[in-house]
Amino acid sequence: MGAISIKELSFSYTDHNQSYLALDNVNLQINDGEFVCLIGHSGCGKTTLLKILAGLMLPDKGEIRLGDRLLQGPGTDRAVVFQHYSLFPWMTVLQNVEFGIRQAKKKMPKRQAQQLALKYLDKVGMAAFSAKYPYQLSGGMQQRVAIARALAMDAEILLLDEPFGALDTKRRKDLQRLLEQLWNNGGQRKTVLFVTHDIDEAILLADRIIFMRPGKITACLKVPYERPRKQEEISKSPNYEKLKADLQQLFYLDSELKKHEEDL
Amino acid sequence: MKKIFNLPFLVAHLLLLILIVTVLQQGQKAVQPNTAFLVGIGLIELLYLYKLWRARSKEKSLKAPSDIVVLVWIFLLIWEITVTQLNIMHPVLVPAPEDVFHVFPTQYRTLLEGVVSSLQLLLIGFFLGLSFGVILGLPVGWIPRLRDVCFPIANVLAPIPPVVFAPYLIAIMPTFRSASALVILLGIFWPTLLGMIIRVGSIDRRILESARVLNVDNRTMVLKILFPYVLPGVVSGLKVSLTTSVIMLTFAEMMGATKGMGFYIINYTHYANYTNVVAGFIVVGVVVTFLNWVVGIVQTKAIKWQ
Repeated sequence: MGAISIKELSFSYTDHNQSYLALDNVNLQINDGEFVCLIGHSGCGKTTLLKILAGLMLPDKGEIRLGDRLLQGPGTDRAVVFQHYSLFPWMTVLQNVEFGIRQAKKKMPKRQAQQLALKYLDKVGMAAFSAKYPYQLSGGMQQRVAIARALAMDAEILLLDEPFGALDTKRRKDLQRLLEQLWNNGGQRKTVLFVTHDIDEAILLADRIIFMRPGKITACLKVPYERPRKQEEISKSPNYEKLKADLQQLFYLDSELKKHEEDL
Repeated sequence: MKKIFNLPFLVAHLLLLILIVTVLQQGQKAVQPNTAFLVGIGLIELLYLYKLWRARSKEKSLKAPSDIVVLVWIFLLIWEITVTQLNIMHPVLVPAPEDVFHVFPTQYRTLLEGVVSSLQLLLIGFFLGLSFGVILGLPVGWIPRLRDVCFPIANVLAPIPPVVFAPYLIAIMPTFRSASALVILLGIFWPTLLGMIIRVGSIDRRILESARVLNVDNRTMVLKILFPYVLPGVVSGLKVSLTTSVIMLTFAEMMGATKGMGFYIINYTHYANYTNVVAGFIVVGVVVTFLNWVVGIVQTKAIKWQ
């Protein structure tokens, strides 16, 4: 149900009558229950692709199917977490999660939605903060709540746009572990598209890493490690260095190309 | 622990003593009994001591209340000496402080009725104008087609000061009260509506995207997202709106009311009874300060999430 199929997708931004091709004929197939990391430099179109999948923007060309349905706009079959500001500042932690649940399941009674919200807040370790407002929480805590809301909505697809990008290393590691755990143990695995520019994060989390270069998908690497993964174990395994080197080379090559273009 | 008995405190009380002694002297000018004036001075002193006490427990400057009250005492001293004691001011244009304060105990009934009547009009116009502005502004700001039509119209109508409508509205409305309520309403409505349209139009894109990915419908968008989003703006604009409505109100009352604060002042101006006129100023000042104080409390309590 949560499979994503992207065919010949193109999208361009228009700014001051100049149009800029952000996605150029992109094809991508993501299986149901697969964890895919989308990686690349800033401005390579990875966030654009995620926003189109979220239904925030419509593609110029091509089509996207979620399962067998054609994507036509936003929907609660997808849950989204942004880097900043996924939560509404005027709602408490509990109200934020409850609002998400009631958007996804309109018929659920208020009390039941609250209990469900508390259950998910407990899973991310935020149940004690349910009466707080977002401004009273740290960035990491806000992202925990945002993840709780996304999971509580029980969407088939999770779209995460650099959700840990603004956090310090320690919090980032904690949340990466939490996310993998929740995704791994949650019974039915959800399809995840995770945008990042952190190579280690991608290797730790993804089944498959998609590398993007402006407008295009240029590489696709399988990450073969068993779950649950631990950073220490993965980094000792034989092909880790090669995988990391490959990714680094992709990054390096790209910046070389760019430099070359600038020189011209 | 901060010292209350600092230099400004001592200066303030020295001046207070001089003021009271001066008031108790028989002056050159024949005036009303000084009881009301002395009570007034006593009330100012009480308010001052209260402010000092509050400032002590709240880590605020202890000097500011003393400095302010020193200025007040100097002003009252000059007023008392030049008018009552020496009688060197214009006998009609500058009334004696004793006479002005004597108006309060003798005419308190008329004054109170005026205040009540004015406040009723003020609150009706204020709340209706604010509510209409917010309720209409949200959907108009949100739905592009409505906005494109309403925004230019509002931009043309809003800058016309509602006071220029006032005489006409008084002529066409069935009662004077409805007319002045309408003047206040218009004075509040247009700026609120414009503010709402602009604020909704410039909503933080990240909040908007968060809402859109949750697939909210228009109704939920307006009620659960846009309304709470614009509320702090409305609340922080309350003081300006209140000032606007007081201006509208007193102006409307001066045009053709038969009671109210503005009427009281304009009526006695016609009779050149400046004693009552100055007393009216003081009443308006006290009432407006009180309203601002209430609004200030509302502002600090209303928005819990910032």
